[in-house]
Amino acid sequence: MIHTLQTISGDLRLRAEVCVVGSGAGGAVAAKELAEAGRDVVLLEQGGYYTKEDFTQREEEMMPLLFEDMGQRATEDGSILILQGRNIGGSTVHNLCYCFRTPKPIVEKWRREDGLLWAYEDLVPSFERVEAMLHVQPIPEAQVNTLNRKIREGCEKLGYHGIVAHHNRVNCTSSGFCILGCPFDAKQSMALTYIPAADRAGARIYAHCQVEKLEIAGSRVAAVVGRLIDAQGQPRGSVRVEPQVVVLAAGAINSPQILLRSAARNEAGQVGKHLHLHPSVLLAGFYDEDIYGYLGIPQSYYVDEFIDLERNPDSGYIIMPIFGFPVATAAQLPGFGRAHAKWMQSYHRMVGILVLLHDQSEGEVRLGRDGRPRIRYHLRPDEQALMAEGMRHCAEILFASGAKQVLVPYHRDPLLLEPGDDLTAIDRRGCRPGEIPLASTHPQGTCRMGEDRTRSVVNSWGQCHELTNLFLCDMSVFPSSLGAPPQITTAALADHTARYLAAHWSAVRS
Amino acid sequence: MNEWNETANRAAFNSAWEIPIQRRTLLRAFTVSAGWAALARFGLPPSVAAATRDYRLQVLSAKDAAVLREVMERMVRGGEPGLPPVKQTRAVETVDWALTFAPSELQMQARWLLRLFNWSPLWVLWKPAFFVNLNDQYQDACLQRWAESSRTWMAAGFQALKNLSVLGYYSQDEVWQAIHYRGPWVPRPRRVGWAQGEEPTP
Repeated sequence: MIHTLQTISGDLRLRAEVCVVGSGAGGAVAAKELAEAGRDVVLLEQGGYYTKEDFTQREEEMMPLLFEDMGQRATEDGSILILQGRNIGGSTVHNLCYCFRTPKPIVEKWRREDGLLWAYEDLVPSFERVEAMLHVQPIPEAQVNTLNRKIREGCEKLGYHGIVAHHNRVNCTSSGFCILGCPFDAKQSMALTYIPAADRAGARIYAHCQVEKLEIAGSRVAAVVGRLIDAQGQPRGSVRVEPQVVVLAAGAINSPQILLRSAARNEAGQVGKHLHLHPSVLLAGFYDEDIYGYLGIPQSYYVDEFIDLERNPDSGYIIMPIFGFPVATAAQLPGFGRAHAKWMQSYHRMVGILVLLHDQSEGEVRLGRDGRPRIRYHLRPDEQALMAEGMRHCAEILFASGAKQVLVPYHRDPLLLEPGDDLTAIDRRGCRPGEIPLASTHPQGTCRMGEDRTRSVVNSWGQCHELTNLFLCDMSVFPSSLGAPPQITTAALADHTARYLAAHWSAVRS
Repeated sequence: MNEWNETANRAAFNSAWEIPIQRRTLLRAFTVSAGWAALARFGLPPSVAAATRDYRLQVLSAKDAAVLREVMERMVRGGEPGLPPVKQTRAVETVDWALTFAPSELQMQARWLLRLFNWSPLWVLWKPAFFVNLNDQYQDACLQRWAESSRTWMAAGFQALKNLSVLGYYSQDEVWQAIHYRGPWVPRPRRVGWAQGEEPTP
C-alpha cells in the first residue's frame, strides 16, 4: 500500500528489515528487488504520491508538486539551476525518457581509477532487467517531432553524427507534456513500474516522509528519523524507523545532506565532495515557419558528434533538443519588457537546443546553518570554453536548418545572430556562470563509489565504508561524471547493489 | 501612472523618511522590522481589492500584491499591445498560490524582496518615490538598474522578480493565445481562481 497523509495519522513509528530513503530511479529499484527477495521493506519519500489524474499539464501547478524547491533549487551563487524530482517516482516522473546504458569506457575508467570490483559485463543483466521493466524501446520515426527534425536536418547538412534515441514510453500520444508528469500513463516512470511492483511484493511505501538524519550507534545506523510534511512543507508529525539495513537513495544533493546532518563518520571528508552537474546551456533559434516545439516527444534526437568516450573519457559534450512550456521559456529568455514580450510572441516558431557538458569540473554539497544544502560548483575555464564551442555548434545547426535568428541568452547584452554572422562571437563572449543561464538535471557524484576509503564513501557494492549497514543507491555514487543521461545507469546500479545486499543479507544485517 | 494613492503615498513616504538618510541607516531600515513599519502606511490600489475579490491571498499581503502587479506589468509586458495587461489576468494570485508551496523562509524572502524593490527608486534612481508610483520610463529604468547591477544580491533579486513574474503571467490562459500556445490537452479545473473559502489543496 502506498500511504499518504490521507492514511497516516499522528507520528509514524516503524520497524523493518530495510528502510529505503527516496523513491526515484535508485530507491524504487532497491525497494522492489529487496521486497521480492523476501525482505520486509519500508520506503520513505519526502514528496507526495501523484497519479495521472493529478497531472494538470500546467506549469504553475506541477512545478511545486514535482520539483525540489518548486524548481528553484540552485547553486549557492545562483548561477546554475538544479532540477530534481520530489515525489513518489522521483525525477523519473518528470524526466524526458532518454534511455542510455552506462558508457563502457566510463565503467572501465571507474575500474581503472577507482578500483571498482565489477566490469561492464557484470552490469549487463541489471541493464536488461531494468530495460525490460521500464519497457525501453526505440523512439518510432513517426514520433520525431518538428523541433527534433529541425535539429537533425541541421546536423545532417553539417555532417554531425546523431541518433534517434531509445525511450521508456508505451502507447505515447505525443502530447509533449512529459516534464509536467504524463497524464496518459505512457511514460514508464518508477511510479508506474517499480513502485507498484514493490507494493505487490509487500513493501510499505510512505509519501510525505522527509528524512532529516540517521541515528548512528558505533559503526551502524540505528534509526532513520524525520518528519511528516504536507505538500506545502508544513510539519504534520514525526517519523522514526528502526531498520536492520538502510538504503539511502535521496539523490546527489539530499543524500549527502542527510549524512552530514547525521554526523556520520566521514573520516576521509569525502561526503558531499566531487559534485558533478552535467551543466547545460541553451540557445533558441527563430524560424519563419511554425514549429510548435511543445507538441510531440520533446527529446528524441541526440547529437554525439562532440563526445568520444573511447578516445577520451574525460571530455566532451552532447547536443540535445529542448523546449520549455511558456513559463520555463520566458524565464530563460534574457531581459524584460517589450523586447522579451516580442520574443515570447514568436514562441511557436522557436527551436531550443542545448549543450550538456561531460564535466570534469567539481563542486561540493555542504550543510548550511539552517540544515539545508549549500551547493558550490566551479566551472573550470577550459570547460567554459568547451561549452562556448558547443554553443557555436548549436548556432551552426540552427542556421543550417533554416533559422532566421539565433538568440544566445546572455543576461546582459544577449547575442542575436543572423545567417552569415561571425559565430566566433560566441567563443569570445564565452560561457561564464552568472553571465548566461545554466541548468543541471543530473547532479551526481557526492558520495562516490570506490575501493580506496580515502577517495570514496561507498565500496563497489554501494556499502558505506564507515557504516556497515548503510548502502547508497542513487546518482551520488557515480565515481565521476557519467557523460550520458543517467536514468538507466542509476537504476541498473541500484539493481546491482540490491541483489548484492539480498545475497549477503545475513552478513550485512549483523 | 495611477493617481489613486499618490497623495497618500507621498505623505507616508515623507513620514517614513524623517530619519537621516545615510547608507548605514538605509541598510538598517531594510533589515530590521522597525524599518518596515512605515510600509504599513503604504496605500493599497483599488485594483488589487477588485482583483482579489474571490481569491484570498495566502502568502502575499495586498500591498505586496500591488507591488508585484506593477513589477509584472513592466517585466513581462512592457506595454506590448499584443499581450493582455496583467490586471486582466490572475497572474498575481497564481504567484501567491504557488508560494504556498515554498518554505516559510522563502515566502518571507519574497515578501521582503517586493518591499525592498518598491523602496529602491530612492537609492537606484535617487528618486523619492515608490516603484509603484513611477511612470513607465522610470519603472523600466529601475528594473534595468537591478538587472545590470554588479551587486550579486541585486542581480539575484531581479532574477527572482522575473521568475515570479513569468510564473504568474505565462501560466494564464488569456496570455497563451497571444503566444500561440494551445495549452493543456486534458481539461482540468484550474486551482487558482476558485471562489473565496474554496482555496485549493493539492
